[in-house]
Amino acid sequence: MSEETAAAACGEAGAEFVRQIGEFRSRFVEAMDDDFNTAAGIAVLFEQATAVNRFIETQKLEQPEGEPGRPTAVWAARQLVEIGRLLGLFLEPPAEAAGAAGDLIERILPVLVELRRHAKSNKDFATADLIRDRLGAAGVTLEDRPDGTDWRIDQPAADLIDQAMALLIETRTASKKNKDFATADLIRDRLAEAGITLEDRPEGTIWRAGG
Amino acid sequence: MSLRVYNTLTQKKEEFEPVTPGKVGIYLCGPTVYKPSHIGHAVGPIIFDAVKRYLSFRGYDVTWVVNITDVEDKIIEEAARQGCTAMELAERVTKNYLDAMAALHITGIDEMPKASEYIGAIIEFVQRLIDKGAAYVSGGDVYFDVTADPDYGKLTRRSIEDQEGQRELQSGEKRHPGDFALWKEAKPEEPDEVKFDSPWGQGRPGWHIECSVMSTRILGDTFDIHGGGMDLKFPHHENEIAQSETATGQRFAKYWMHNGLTRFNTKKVSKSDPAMQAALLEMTLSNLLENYSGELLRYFVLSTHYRRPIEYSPEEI
Repeated sequence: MSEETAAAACGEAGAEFVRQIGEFRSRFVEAMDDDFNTAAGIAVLFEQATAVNRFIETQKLEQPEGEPGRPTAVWAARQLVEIGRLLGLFLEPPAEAAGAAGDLIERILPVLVELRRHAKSNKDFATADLIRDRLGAAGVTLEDRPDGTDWRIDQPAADLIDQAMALLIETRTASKKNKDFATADLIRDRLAEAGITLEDRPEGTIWRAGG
Repeated sequence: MSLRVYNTLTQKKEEFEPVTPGKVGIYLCGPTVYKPSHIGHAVGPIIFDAVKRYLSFRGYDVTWVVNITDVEDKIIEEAARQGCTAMELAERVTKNYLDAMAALHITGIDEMPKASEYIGAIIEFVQRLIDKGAAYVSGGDVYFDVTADPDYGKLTRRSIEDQEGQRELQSGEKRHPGDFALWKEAKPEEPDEVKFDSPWGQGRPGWHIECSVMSTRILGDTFDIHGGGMDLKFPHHENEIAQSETATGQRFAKYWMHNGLTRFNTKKVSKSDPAMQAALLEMTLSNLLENYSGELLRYFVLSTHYRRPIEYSPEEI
């Protein structure tokens, strides 16, 4: 895609954005021309990444109505990658990083679902409802079906993983207080199977995704 | 094109003008392969890989050379300690180094000459210096006569009078304490594989000579950029200049780029525990690469300007 096409896609905002991206490129070259100032070059890359992200947000490119503008953002991202490769960056696939986070929530949610089922079977509807509501507030919808409960991640909160883990730890702490060790152990064991370790500390329980 | 490079030789930023228009020749002092490399060894290659990528982007045709010192005291000692031959050890450590370079996406090195493959060329070069009256034989050693080079000391701005004896303990006698070995007589207890025949008896090259020989052989008597850590400025780089310019009569490297050294810095390890500090600094690149991606380490190194020291600690990474 050429600069002109990229600019045309989003009207005036697009043209201004494209001009900005061009400027980042010039500033990167300026930085490297000045005795190979890679530190300054990297700073420019960061600024460019922020600008692209801001463009995506303000133009609502992730919503259906933002579709026409997406190619412009993609073009801008490619420019960033091209420049970054001059430093030998962006050569490794980023999928690893995103995949890991995506994986993690897929491993935590089943534990919450099972915990809710376990609570309901003990007639602890307060806990069951708490889980459904807190997940709902964090952008995850639970759907109870005859053969099990599904979840849908609609609008995940930025800290969804932290919220989900906090919920699990809270529930476990409360269970232990009530001497309901079966529930407490269930939580710990299921998490361990999912590769997440809990560490009980005097100041509170912390968690770690191992391996 | 207004690319500017800080030149240690002039101590200022100069507008970059290559010796041959459109082409750039770069020589970087490489590892002595006696033990696995640590992060400090990776800094130079990461920097120059980025430099080469950028210069290519700016339209230059770049040739980048990194040498491998595979004949050296430390290799002989370590091999004896491990009970293997020096060549075996060197090969093993070289492979470890090359694997690390690949993991760090350092793809731009065009040639990696080995000292062991340049013995003939080194002997020829040393003989040239002797013929010019700039080097002399003493026992089975050959020394460079620093008084023969009127410019000696121009890289680090020292005069010959400032010189103390170097850290070389040689069998022969030196005329001047600043003189340094070009060729070292073989000791009887050393294994045969590190003894090379020469007009002056069996022996092997001194520390400094190989870089002069390899760089000029591959890149020409005068080339553009010579790189290395700041710790190599003196005596190593100073001596390279003396050797090369005396032998060829031409200017050696036009631009000298020196990078800052890696400083180990963490709050976790108390300063009063030098053994622990040393152990952590020595953490090998292989270990680091098991825990951090090559790209991350590249980013870590390049986020500091190359001339500044790098603060290295697990937290920083």
